[in-house]
Amino acid sequence: MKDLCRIIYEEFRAIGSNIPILIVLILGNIGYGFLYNLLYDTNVYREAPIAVVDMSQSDISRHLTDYIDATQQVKIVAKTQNFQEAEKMLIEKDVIGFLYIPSELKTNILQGRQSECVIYGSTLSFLDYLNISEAVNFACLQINSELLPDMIKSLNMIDVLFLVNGKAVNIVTEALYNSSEGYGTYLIPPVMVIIIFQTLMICVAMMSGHENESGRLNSQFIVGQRHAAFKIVTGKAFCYVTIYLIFAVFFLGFLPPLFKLPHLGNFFEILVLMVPYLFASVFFCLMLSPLFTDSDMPLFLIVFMSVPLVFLTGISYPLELMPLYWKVFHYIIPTAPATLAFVKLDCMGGDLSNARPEMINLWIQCLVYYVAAMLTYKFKMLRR
Amino acid sequence: MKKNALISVIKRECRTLWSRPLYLFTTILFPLFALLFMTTIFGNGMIDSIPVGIVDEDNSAVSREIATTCSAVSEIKVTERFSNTAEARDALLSKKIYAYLIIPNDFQKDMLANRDVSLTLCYHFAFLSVGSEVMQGFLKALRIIAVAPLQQTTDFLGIDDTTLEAIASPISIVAHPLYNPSLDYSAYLSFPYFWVLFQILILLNIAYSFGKDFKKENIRDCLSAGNNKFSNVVIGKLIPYVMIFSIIGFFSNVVMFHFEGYSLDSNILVMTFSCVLFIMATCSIAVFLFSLYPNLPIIISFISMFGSLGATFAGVTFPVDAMFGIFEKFSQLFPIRHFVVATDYLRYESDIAVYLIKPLLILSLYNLLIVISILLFKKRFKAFLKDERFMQDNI
Repeated sequence: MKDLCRIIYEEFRAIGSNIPILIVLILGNIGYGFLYNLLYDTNVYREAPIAVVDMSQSDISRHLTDYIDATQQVKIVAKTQNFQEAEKMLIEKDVIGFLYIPSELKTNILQGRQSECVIYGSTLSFLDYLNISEAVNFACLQINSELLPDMIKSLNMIDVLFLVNGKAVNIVTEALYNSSEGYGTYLIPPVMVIIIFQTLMICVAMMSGHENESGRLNSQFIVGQRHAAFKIVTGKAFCYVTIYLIFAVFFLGFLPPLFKLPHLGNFFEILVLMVPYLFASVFFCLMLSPLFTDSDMPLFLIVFMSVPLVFLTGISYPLELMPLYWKVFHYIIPTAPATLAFVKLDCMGGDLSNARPEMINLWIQCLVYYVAAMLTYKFKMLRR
Repeated sequence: MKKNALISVIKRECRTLWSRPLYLFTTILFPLFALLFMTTIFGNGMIDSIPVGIVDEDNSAVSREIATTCSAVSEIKVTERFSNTAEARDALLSKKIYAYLIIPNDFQKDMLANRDVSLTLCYHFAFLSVGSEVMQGFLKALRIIAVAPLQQTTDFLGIDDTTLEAIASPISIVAHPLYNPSLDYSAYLSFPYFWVLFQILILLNIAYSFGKDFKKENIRDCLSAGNNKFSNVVIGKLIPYVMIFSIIGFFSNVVMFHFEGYSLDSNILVMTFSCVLFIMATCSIAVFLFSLYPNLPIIISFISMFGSLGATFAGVTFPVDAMFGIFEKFSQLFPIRHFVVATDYLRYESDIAVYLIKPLLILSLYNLLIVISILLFKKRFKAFLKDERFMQDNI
């Protein structure tokens, strides 16, 4: 126990005297935390600029464009009768798409025929396309319900006038767990969990790199003693987990209410999740420590993995559709199940029973990586 | 002499690259891993057969018909049936399904009696991309279901389906998703995100290489190879990297546009030329950032942050115009932003020379940072060089 306490003390001391690690710990964590939240603080992408090619120039087409303009998703910045002009605006990125209204719109409606309007939407960003698509479809639904009586009258089918009273099935849609339907409220909670993992990995890896470079462990005194690997790994893990529990409170307890992110989770349950997550992450990194030949090199691997980690969580692209060989990584890297579990607890308001598969996964990782980290340190000490 | 000095720095850098397996990983294997990852992670790229559920409180022939209609839509697959909403919500929380449709009690009875009926669709929006696809899939199926009661009446009155469609929806919307008609996620994200990852590696490789050589114990050797001129050292060190990264860039273009079949309206060589400009711009910015504070352990953290932010400022998933104005302006400092603009044109438009000038010119201008970096290096190591000359003179 005395040895363990000394290892923890030596580790804290080593961290406290290492400027680059302190920079990552304090500026990295706080900087990333605030910066990412600020970057996506607008949250919802609204008023995307679009154009309308109105060949009809009728009261109906004007009414339709008014409805479109009234939606939050888009803003009509140009009305024209020239298709090429709209196309040019799209190419020059002045608009994200345009709606083509055919010249025969009103004639068709008066004659009881259907008219086709065409959305030409850029897919350079799927959010752009979603915006124009949602806005036009919504406006179309509105105007269609208004046009129904005229259509029936024009067809001279007074017998079916009762259709006007809307006996079609009403569809009610409800977006769950992200009521603002925002991009920030969707992306930032998982990103916070990933940042915890990344900065933790960077710190542990920089320290391991520093030890490898100098050829000395922070707790060199323990080398050669019984159960040295167990004590070193346990001591180091305790030290980093203690520090990161504080940052976890900052990322997952302080920032979400500050930036109005979904925050439905129970503090205690999130803490219960953080314990295996942080331990698994530290053990995982200690297991990989021989790879970090110097204190600068870890950044390559860890920063480079930031984007793949987001995809591997299954938040931005469904896990079910990923090839099996990538899905395996979801189960062996601590951040993927932890992110999913956090979203379930804090964004969706679930409880630990809903996150059971992820919790089991994390505890298994803890155990496996703990043993692997001890073996790594045992070999390291033997080599020396 | 000058030419020889440049060549000797290049040779020295090549020897360094060859001497440590670490460099092989970071300059060649990591980018190839990024290419493999980005071209395969999305499977076939299409979000389809997403598991969804039906809360069937009615348990009637019509409700079963609704389930069958929903299953016929490619985006979704009805994998679960529930008797109440609580069970469905639990399945949603456990991520067994991504959405559920509630068919209320007496739905069939009310529909046949021509009373107001409604269906409620609850979809997962904590997973925004899947949620919106699932919603679109459900709405596709529900559009058919929604006119079912009208159809019964119009059938009775002898009105054909085309007329019914015109009555129910006088204006129909046809969507033309431009550039990526099938809304394929691979085609959408693989190319830009490969380059986002690659730029992180370029930035770190360059910073690491300069950081190692500009340490006090190494700089003497490095400078003597470059005839004590920072211009030789900087350019000589960059040339092998630019060449290696350009080859990888060309290879990635061949993989993506030739083998994977992603859309490319321009020529693969023109695309590679843009990639080379981007690689040079990224190298330049890495050297410049390093020259501001040539202390590797500290500056590398900052450079890695700069690289990570490139993923956001590329503006691929969330448009930079939608961010606060200051961030939109800030994004202009990132070469990846201009690269994405240029390659969007190259990938999807023909006759675009006029639109390419600006982004490619900006990418070229980043190279001026090299000149500033050389001046900064000269200034910072002035004292050191003086000592060196003094020592040499005395020896």
